[in-house]
Amino acid sequence: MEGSLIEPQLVYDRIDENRRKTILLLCLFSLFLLPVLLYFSHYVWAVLLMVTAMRIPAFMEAAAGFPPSVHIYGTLVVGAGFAILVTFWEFHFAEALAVRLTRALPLAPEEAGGLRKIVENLCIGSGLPQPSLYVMEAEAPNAFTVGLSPTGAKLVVTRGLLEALDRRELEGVIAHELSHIGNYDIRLNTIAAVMESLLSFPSRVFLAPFSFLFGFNRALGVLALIWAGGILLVLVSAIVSMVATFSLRDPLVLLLLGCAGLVFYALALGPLSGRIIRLAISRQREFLADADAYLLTRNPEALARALKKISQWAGQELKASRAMARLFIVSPWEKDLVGHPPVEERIAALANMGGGFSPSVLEVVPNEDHEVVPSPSHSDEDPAPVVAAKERIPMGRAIISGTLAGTIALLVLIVAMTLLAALFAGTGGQAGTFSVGFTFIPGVVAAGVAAHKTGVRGGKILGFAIVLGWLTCMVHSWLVHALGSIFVPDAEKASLTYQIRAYFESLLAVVLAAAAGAFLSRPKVG
Amino acid sequence: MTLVNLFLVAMMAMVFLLGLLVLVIYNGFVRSRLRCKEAWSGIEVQLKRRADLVPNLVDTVKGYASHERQTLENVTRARAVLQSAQGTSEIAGANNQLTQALGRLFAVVEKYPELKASENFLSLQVDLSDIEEKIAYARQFYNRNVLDYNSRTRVMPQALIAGLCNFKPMDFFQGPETPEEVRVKF
Repeated sequence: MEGSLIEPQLVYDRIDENRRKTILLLCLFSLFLLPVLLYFSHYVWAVLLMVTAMRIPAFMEAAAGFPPSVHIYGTLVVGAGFAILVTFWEFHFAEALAVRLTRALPLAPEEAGGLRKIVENLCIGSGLPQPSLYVMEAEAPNAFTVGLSPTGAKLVVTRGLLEALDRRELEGVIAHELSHIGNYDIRLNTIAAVMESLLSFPSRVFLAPFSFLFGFNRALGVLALIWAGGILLVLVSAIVSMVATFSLRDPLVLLLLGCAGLVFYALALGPLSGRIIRLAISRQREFLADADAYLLTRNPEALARALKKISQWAGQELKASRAMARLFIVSPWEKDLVGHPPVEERIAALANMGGGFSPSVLEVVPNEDHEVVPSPSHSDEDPAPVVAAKERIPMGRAIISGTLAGTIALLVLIVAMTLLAALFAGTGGQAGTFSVGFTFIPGVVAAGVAAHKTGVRGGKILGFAIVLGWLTCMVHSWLVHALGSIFVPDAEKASLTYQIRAYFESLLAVVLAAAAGAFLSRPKVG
Repeated sequence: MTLVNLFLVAMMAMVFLLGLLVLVIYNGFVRSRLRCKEAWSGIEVQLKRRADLVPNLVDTVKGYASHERQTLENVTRARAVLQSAQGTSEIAGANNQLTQALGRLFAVVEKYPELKASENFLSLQVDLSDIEEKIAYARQFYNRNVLDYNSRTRVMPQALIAGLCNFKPMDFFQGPETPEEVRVKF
């Protein structure tokens, strides 16, 4: 038996775990999807009814008498029809264009015999039918597959891949792509894409005017978003404060709350969770394909070297649309938005498979012309010096620095306001010491410092921090409403407990600002 | 519905579900075994291709290096043994013997530069190394399927069915001692 039974077991366990996680994520997806779909289709159904009723007076009377079951069926039909339409579009058109868009040409019979042999051998090893081979004329090495099932799958490599990789590395890459085919990953990703489209449809409809403004002028778009967001949050706060004063047993309040919750979910939370789930699915499948490639070639080092070489080219040359980018083996962009795990993580995972290898074996030293010169990786007697990889930014430290800076700003502000109040004593009240607007500047400072710590430089910080500062105000105001502080009578506001409580509310908002600043501005490693 | 009736219905439902489970497990076994058989025939295809190549190779070498009779005879004999072998472990053993004999043959060929340079030999060498790699992959695929089948025969609910219906574990196709030998440069 090749190798001990222990070692393959680890990889198989990982594969099983990956598959379980994928199923879980798909179930989560469906769960999240249902309310959004119902919300959307109900809305559309209501609009349809209204429009028809306005045109045909006789219909209006009939419509008034519809029993609830008609409305339910109508909603379901609209929802189903919509889902079918989107599915059809994604399955048949979106990816079929991919190959044509890259102007990839079929591999001529006399060309690249080495590649053909590799594909042939690996197909024997995996029991898959041979995919058709295509070549994309691009210098940057990369590869992808399209095809909803193993028969009729197409494998596209770039010219640069054939030139940059040696035989074993090419084997690793092809094995990875074949694993994608064999695991029906393209089909899975398409399903995930469909679900994400469905989830984000209502929000895309509502945000369409804003994206137009964004495209027109960035600042304008941001302002419009803030304005709309501000209104939305005020609405939410109003509802929450209503709940605080009225009894929760009042059915009208409950209904209002339910509607508001559903709207918020459909417009904001749903699409966000859809995006997160879909990225998680993509990530899982990439790791799974790496593990299956190991099982196929039993040579994790070669694949790791290939990944390293390919990632050196990130951000150069390969122009790819968003739909295309997610198909490549390594993300062609510097900042990955489509679900590829960072190359460092993938190499670390591969290093643990089988006998393992030391990651320091992977030195690839690029020179000015982006030529990659691999140092000899088989010489144990002369280990090459370790090239320092970009260090991971310690996020915790960035958040702490941001929080500290924000807290200091807050304290400074409080002291200043107290002094001013003392100077102008007699104007009454607390001079708004803990008014909501107060967290704006500390929020800006916190987010700005946190972003600075994660490496963002220049003018970008200012715009970024200001937006986050504004959002901090919003969050703070929500907190204040939610925790009922706004209904505290003025007399009590002078008490120490109220002061401390108010201080902690603003502190919480500042911490959130710092965390958001650090998280949103972190560089994607790899 | 009286309690007795309810009980009877529950019993029937359970029996039905159990029967369904047994059916599913049995079908899984049958499919897994068929896949093993198919993977095995994949190996046999490659073995046959190599067996067809060997006489050609032996003749080519004989033309240049007739003194190396012993080595050539070993190869021919190993091939004959492989042709007549039956059953997984016998064939696996014979395959390893043939690979080793061929390895020794290629080591010996180093002494004959005209032979090494001859076009005929070079093309045979390329073909042979490709076939060896294909054999390796086919073997790997077969072993994976056998692993799946064997796990079924041992894992608990399936193991009972295996015992009942006489599904015995299959042999793995043993490779040479060190996997590296297979990928040796011919």
